[in-house]
Amino acid sequence: MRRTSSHLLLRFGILLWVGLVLPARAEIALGAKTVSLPGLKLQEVQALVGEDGEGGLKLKLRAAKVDVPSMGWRRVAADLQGTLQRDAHMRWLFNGTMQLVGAPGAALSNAKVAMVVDEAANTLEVDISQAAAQASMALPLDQPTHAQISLKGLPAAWLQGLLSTIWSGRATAGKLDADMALDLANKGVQASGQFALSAAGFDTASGTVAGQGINGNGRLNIDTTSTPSRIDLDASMRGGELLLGPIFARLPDHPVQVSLTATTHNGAVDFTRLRVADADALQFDGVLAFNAKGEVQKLKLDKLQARFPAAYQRYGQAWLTTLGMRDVRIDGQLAGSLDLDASGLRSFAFDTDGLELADSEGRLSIKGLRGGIDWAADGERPTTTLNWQGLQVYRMVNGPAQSRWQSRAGALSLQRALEVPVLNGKVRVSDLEWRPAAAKGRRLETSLTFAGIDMAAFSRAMGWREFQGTLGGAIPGLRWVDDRFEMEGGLTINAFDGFVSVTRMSLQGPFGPSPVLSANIQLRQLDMALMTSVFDFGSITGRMDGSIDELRLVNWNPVAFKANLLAGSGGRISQRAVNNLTTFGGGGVASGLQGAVLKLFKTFGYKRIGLSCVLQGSVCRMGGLDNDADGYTILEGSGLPHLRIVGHQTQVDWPTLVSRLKAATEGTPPEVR
Amino acid sequence: MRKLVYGLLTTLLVALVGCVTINVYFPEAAAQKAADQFIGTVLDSNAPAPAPASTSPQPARNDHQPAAMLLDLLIPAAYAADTPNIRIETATTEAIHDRMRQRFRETLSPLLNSGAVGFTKDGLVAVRDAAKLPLDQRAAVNATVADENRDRNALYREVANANNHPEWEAQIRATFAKRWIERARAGWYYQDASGAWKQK
Repeated sequence: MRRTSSHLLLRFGILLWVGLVLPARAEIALGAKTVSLPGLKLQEVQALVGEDGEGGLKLKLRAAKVDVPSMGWRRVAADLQGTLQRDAHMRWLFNGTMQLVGAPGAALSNAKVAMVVDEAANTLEVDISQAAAQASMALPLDQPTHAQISLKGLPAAWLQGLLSTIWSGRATAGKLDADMALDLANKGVQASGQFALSAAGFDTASGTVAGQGINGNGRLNIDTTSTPSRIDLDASMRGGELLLGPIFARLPDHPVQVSLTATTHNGAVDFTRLRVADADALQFDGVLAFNAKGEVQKLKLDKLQARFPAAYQRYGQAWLTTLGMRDVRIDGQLAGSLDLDASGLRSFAFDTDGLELADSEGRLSIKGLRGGIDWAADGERPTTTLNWQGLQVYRMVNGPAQSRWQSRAGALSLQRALEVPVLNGKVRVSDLEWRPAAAKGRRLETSLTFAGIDMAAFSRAMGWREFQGTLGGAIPGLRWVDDRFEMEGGLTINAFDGFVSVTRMSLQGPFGPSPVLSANIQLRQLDMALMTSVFDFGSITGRMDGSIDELRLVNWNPVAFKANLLAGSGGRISQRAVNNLTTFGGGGVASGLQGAVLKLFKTFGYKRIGLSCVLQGSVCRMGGLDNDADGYTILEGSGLPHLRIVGHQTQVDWPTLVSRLKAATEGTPPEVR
Repeated sequence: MRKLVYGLLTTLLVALVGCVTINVYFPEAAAQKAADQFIGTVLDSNAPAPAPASTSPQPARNDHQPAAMLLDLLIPAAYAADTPNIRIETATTEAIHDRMRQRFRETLSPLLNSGAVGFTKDGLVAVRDAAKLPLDQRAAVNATVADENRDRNALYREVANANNHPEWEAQIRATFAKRWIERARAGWYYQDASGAWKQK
């Protein structure tokens, strides 16, 4: 290397000597196909040396292709013009201009250059300026690969080439001030020093890692001479926005300390040391690795301290929104740790002394959360406790509860059965085992028992007509498989002096936009007098049995079921209920002579009432006690006047039926069509 | 005797194959038509909401096995009972449709136009080139894409369920995936079978 450079210096010397010795007004043109220097290669070089008539030399140097691999410059056209003079101290002074075409970030497209070569002091000083940007460089003549560089207001984009040697990203905006020591080598560059960035922006090819409007200052070491390249940074940053994969951070106006060591290789970035301290929001130590596609390969956070809502607003909001949790209200503080790699979660732990959390749509809220959980994919972790003052799932308000947890071999289990007061009753959660690492398959298993849950409170919470009753039952096996909760066993509701049992329940995506609940429902000996009084349907006495099989509610609205209702023990039915029942047959109120006769009686005796409906894709296929070609019997009367309601419409539009029923139970007369 | 046993066995085998063929029969043409209707009203902001019309049964005849064709002749009643039809309009799919249509009009349409987002081969959308977007919009776009995909997944599931064939979900997804791409406007990006992005 050294040899080449001395070789060139020698040539340069000869050139100067020729220039000085030759008679005045002469010009010398020299050309070279290739000139190589350490870390620098010039091709198709043309040099022109002439006298400027004032005792100096006019220099023109033009190279069609300049390569500086360590700066990431490839095939840059360079044009250097100026005058060379010697001063009283025998120093060579060069003043001129430099124009580069094709340099990354359009660097030095039209710059002024001043150079001082002081052989006695063994130094070369270069000052380059273009508009507000200034760069000065000092290097020893015998070691031109080592330089002290001072930059002021340098567009960050000018360093694009340098950045591209260590990283696939690019600088998009910002200005840089820096004082750096730089060592150029054939394979790369070593630099270290102080820097200050203002309004800086960067971006990557995939667009998943980017930043803008970032201000910061600190100390930087870069070493690209070895593989992988290495960067050490200790900085304090203010303002701006950062995108790191799913995480979008809005940096505050006060300084955030960032200190990191990163190695980069073929586009992959590995932060082997990462420390962030945003005093009033988020602090952690950790490691982070992205592959070349910008996907997170490893994330390990220790000593994580988060204060909400600042941490949520600045760092967590975008990520949670992507997960479908918009505008979460979160308050309090949390300490914890997290470890995940490409295969999934390895461990996590958190501890809080007071946290409140609520989603914007009122599906879930937790009040007064205290304690923590400590989970790891392998081994055994200490027991932790987690308590809360209140838990609200949809409109169901649950009371305070205490829980004890322990993680063994990747399963987090409840150490003691958990009793949660719900709607004047209790839910007991036992044998809970949660496998947080299982993204697919069985994630959670538990058994639940319900006792004495007040249906009046439940119906109020759901916004239904209030009715008396209690709910109890056992779900010996609840499993969370993929995104679905499957429940074995069943719940029994004692209401209307009878039983409603719910079995084969499963719930999919409970907190998503389209939660799906499926279940089978059995009705036993319900007192219709009580029922009809609650739902204001008119009055029917007698008992009802029935089933609603394969019920499927999407977003809590029925989309499919096979219902069969039968009141087979006889009773009486009021005129209003008769009118309402005809709704099911697709008809309105009986009119004409029939209607006039009906109006003479307040109630009628009946022997049986039967109705079936198979709902499939918003059409209800109706049936009754018996079906024939003419229609189906909904009500079979007894005594006088003998009443029989026959439905003729077998295919009923479900939304229409629902709106008619709604109208009927709200006391407004059904529409006659 | 042996002949009779063989005969019975063969009949049984054919019957079994026949049963299977009929049960897995997926009304591709009807599904395509239904998907077109749904997609058309989502993509075309001027079109009215889908009319509550179910598409007519259009058995696809191109991929029939000879055995199945024979069985068609033998047991036409099975077809009559299992009339292939794809129904798309339920309260749920309507709700999903309205959300998707609004989302398309407000956010997705410009993202598809700019090429930042494209249609994937499995009937979803994905961020294709986030670098096309201003930084502060990228996180929001990620969320929009996640929302859209949640709705699309629910749509395919619900259409299969509404037709009483939950096992059709994958085929319905595939049909929709094809139709989304076919109906994509010129300039939009989509994934080909290998997953590579292409511009229409």
